[in-house]
Amino acid sequence: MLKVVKIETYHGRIRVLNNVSLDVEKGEIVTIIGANGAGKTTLLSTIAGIHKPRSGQVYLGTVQTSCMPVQDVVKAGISLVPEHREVFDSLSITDNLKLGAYHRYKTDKKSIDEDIENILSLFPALRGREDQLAGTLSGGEQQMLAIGRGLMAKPKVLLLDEPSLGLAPLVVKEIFDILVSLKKRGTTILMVEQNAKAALKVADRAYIIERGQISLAGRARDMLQDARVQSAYLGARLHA
Amino acid sequence: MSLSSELLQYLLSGLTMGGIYALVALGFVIIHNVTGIINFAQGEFVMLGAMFMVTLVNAGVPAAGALVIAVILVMIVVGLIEIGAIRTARKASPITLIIITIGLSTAIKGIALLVWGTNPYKLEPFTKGGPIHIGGATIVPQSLWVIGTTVLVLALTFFIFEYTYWGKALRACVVNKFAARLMGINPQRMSLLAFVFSAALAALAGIVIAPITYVTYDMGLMLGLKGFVAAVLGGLSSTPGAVIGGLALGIIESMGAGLLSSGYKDGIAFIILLLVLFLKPGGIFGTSGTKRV
Repeated sequence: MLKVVKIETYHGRIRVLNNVSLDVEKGEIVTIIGANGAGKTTLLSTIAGIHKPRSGQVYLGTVQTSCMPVQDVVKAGISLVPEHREVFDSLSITDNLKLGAYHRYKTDKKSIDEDIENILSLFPALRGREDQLAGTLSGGEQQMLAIGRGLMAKPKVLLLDEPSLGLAPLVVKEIFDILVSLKKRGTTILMVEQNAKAALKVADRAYIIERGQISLAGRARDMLQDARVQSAYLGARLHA
Repeated sequence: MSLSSELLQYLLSGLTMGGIYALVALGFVIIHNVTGIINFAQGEFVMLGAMFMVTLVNAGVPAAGALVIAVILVMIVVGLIEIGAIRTARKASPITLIIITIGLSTAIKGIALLVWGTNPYKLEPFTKGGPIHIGGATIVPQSLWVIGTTVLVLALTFFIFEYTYWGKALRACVVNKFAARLMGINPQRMSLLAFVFSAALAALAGIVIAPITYVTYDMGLMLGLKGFVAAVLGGLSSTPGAVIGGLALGIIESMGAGLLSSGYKDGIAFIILLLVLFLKPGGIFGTSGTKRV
């Protein structure tokens, strides 16, 4: 479904991504884990069209999206829920969700109210507060709103950048439970996380990124058991 | 004339000019919020509106129709300017774009000089009739048109930003430009929309003020600068701030001119600008530069 082929992305003269390839199948949750500054966010931004790769391609199905401007990438079916959530804080919950459907507003106006209803049933915490300003929500609620807003675009692949950032453990669990239920509904998810344990528990497959390169790829279940992964990302000590 | 009726007189004429400043300031704020550019050609859009109106009326078009056509013409001209001069330079820094708008302002003024010459044009007031007396002060009917139009336009602007999808998309750009891009909102289209909308506001301001001030090719400079002062007064990013800034500037100016000397009228606006920039750079209604994370 989503295929990233030998991407190289630069910030000015610094090469942030070096020969990164990965793929995500329909209906999968794939996670990318890595330390701060490894290039996770840049990778998602490149897929979403915010950064243009200097070489390499991104394909969604058979469509090459890496040469498109952001708004066309969104239209093609890739929706990014950014790091720090970035909700429209002085707009209401409903307006945030409506703006999520911006690219299909002209063509698909009628179904938008119905879709908002669906999102609210997915995130009951937001229901009944539709007119509340997004900036007044708690961190977890803002994350739910950001995910809901991303889903309003009806993406083929949903990209999530650090959905657990700055959230209490219980809230993290709630968010990840929702991701699992999204997967059951057929949503394809590519997620970047520093909370490796939580991410590997819900993911089907995982990639580990180190200094801009994919250093390890495999099934999430296997990675949870992998000694190197455990010592580097899961906080376990190696017993020498 | 007693002092109180004198003050009322200054208040009324202040409100009239203040309404115009508010419309111009609103244009500054909308463009600045959406694009980060301070559009110093805003005053020229005011002049274009007035010039098109005078030309159409002199050509025999009835006033109401001329007003609509003049506003649409200015919107088209400004739309073309945005596509031709701003969009082609969109990768440049805001400061470069601001300098481009200064260049545009000079260019538009130059073209206006060639087309319309240096003579002032007179536009008949929208409605005939002598001055109206209100509690010792007098007001010309055209002032009521100015104030009425300002109120109507402000209400319309509020409605657009609060209740329409396009308005919300524009606000989304203002609140969080990055997230707006992620929603697939095209920043270029929003920039065009902001310019064309501001052009309509400016054109309307020029048209309703024309019967009071005469129309000249260089009327845009002062109105643009005053509008800018009003926008800064309101914090440069707040739409209610721009409106209050405009009205406040109009009233202070008129009071100053009346109570001190009319020679100080323009000076007062720039003293206010300097004071605001020195003492409260965020504008009197603006918050300080910090943002809660």
